[in-house]
Amino acid sequence: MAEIGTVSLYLAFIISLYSMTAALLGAKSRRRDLIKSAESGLYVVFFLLTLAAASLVYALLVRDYSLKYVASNTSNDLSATYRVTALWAGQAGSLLLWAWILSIYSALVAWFNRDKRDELIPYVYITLSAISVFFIFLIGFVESPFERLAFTPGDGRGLNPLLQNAYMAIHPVFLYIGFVGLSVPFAFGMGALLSGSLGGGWIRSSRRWTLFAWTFLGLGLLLGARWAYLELGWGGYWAWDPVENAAFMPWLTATAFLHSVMIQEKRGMLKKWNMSLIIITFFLVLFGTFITRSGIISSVHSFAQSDIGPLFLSFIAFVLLFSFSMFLLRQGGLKSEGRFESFLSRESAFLYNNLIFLAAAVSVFLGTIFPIVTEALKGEKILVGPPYFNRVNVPMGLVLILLMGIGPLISWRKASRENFIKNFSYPTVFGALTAAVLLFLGMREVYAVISFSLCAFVTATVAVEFWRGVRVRCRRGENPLLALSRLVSKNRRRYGGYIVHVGFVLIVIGITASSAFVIRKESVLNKGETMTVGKYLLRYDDLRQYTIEAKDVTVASVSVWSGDKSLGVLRPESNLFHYSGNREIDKETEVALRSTIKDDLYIILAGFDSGGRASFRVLVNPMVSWIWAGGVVILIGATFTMWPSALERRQEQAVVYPAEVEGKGTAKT
Amino acid sequence: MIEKLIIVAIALGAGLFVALPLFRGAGGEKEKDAGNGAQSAYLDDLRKLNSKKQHLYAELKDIEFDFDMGKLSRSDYEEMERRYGAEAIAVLKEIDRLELRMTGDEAGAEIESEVAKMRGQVEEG
Repeated sequence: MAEIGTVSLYLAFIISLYSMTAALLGAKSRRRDLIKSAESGLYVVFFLLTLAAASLVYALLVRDYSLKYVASNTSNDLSATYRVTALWAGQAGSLLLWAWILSIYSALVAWFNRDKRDELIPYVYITLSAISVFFIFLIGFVESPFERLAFTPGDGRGLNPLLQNAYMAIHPVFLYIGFVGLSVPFAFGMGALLSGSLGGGWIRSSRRWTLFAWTFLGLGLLLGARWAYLELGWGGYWAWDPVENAAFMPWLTATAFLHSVMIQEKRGMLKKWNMSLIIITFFLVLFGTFITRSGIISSVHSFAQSDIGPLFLSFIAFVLLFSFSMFLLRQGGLKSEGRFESFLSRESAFLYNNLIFLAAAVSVFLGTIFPIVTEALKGEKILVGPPYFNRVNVPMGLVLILLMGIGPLISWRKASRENFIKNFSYPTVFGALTAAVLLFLGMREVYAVISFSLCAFVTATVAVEFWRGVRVRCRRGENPLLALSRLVSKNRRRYGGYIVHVGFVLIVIGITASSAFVIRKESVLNKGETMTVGKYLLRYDDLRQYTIEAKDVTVASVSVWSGDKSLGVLRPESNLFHYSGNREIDKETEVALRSTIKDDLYIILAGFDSGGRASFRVLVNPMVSWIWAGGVVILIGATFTMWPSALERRQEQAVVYPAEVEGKGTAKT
Repeated sequence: MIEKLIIVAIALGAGLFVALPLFRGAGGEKEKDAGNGAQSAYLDDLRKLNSKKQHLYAELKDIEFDFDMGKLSRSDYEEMERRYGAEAIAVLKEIDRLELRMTGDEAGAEIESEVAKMRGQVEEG
């Protein structure tokens, strides 16, 4: 199977090169057969990379330790599930996953555009194929997952214990679907630049792809945060780790892009800005992959290191140089059709939101590369810790929440005084009341009060939007339920967007509460002793040890009460993995967690001795579950937004219409 | 041995699948494109115009709804409605013009075909 995988990679490389060339020749000579052949090439590359990925999964499952990748990332005692997820545990495997997901996207783009004759489509194929060529080159010729060892060991070095977690099994896939998916809007942007079709077509064609990728990237970030929360055992979910930042940066610029394209669609403005944003977003996608895969910044995530760095840097430089050269060449066609008429308008609110998203991305970028720069200049890595990121990003985040409330309510072009009073009075009063109540109740953390008040303001704006919309439809003779149903179903993008905003409000509430009001306590206890953390009373009852195939497990039993009410027994674990292997980490903790809508009781078994004394680190994290609930709401809102409305279905029919007509040889309207 | 055979089959299959549109194109699609170039361009234009029409209709509905919800002043509403309305009318006119042209071409083609048929019958007769 490994040979089939290797040959599949070589063939995929050749056919990607061919697709790129055929699409280019087809676009230049307007030969449809060449474009169709390039399109077939995209399907074939998908098939071949699926075969390559399947070959590697097969090798992982049958423990083919003659392959370096299998021997480095699995072992005999690893369960079948984690042997499959080892596909993305190492560098070569995750690059194969990157290329494979790209091939899926490319094939889907080809399929959905198979009957379109837009000038930019062949250039979209060229761009996707070019990216494909680079990644397949890396896995085919530089860092092959099918590289054989000189001898076949009896057992492998095993999978990092931290990766043996259900969230880590799915988090990278979500992240990659999001990450790689952003290649599609970039390809459409490049298609517009290369073909000269610089209208709004590329934005309309790539909108759903962008939203899909953005949703998965966001969910991937949340799943990663959940994994860190459960697996790393430090009580938090976000540490501004370079790898977290790597995924966060393109998410920030993609969010800005999703908002600013609305200005282009509505008012024909910000064309240059949108083009630049999608180039920057794709640059950040490549940069993120580079820093996680080149081992340039060591972090808890950067397990794999190799020498692909210079190649990757050259590719990033080429992409930036080529994209911005094309941008400069075509900037005449990217002139704005309108202009900003007031600082107080929806388009201005969107522009401010964009500037802040970009500023946040730049600040995270600088903080992330600072250690690399200092190491290059001084030979010593100076790490920029969470205080820097929090100090810079928290105020920007608060302004973004404010704009999230203002944007939907403010008028296009120019907001009048009446518009302001009419639309903002209820939300402002609600936000101010929230602040007053919180202050009255004794809350003195300034950022928390501002954050909660802004969340109340945004929630009120969303409620006002739904209420006013229903009222307008009711005036047209619909009953309230029908009005609500038609309101949202006829404008999925707008109201789906509001649902997404509500999801963000939940996340912000969760982050604010868990950051400002966390209670931490550490104690060393003998059996039968108790400790109090917040409203919880904990009694250390017992310590048990047992061995299973892969690890020695030590588990403590802790009884928990809240007041007089018994909440049951929680069991934090400390695991020692058997193999010595190459791993830096052979010890990990399994947190005991009791999660409610109000707070999380989080117990870590930090240590123990032979006498049965155990040391516990306990946290009471308020409202953390709101963060995960927010993720679910965002998924619902985004799905709702992506679902085609009746109007879009009609437009889709208009799109396939020529092919049907052509097939029948008649033209009827 | 079987693995090698599979590899050869995959390589041949991949090559054939990619080349197929070129073979088809030599005797069919390319020719069809050349022969039906005008119709293809017409359909493409029509598709774009229909899509633009739907987009403008949606915009007009959106503006009206925003006005009813109090997000647009009357003057802005009227100005935007005028602008989008004018654009929509221009698009509708363009669609009519295209359809007229195409219907004209089709009618011409139908007449030609009928004449050819009758000539054939006369010659056979």
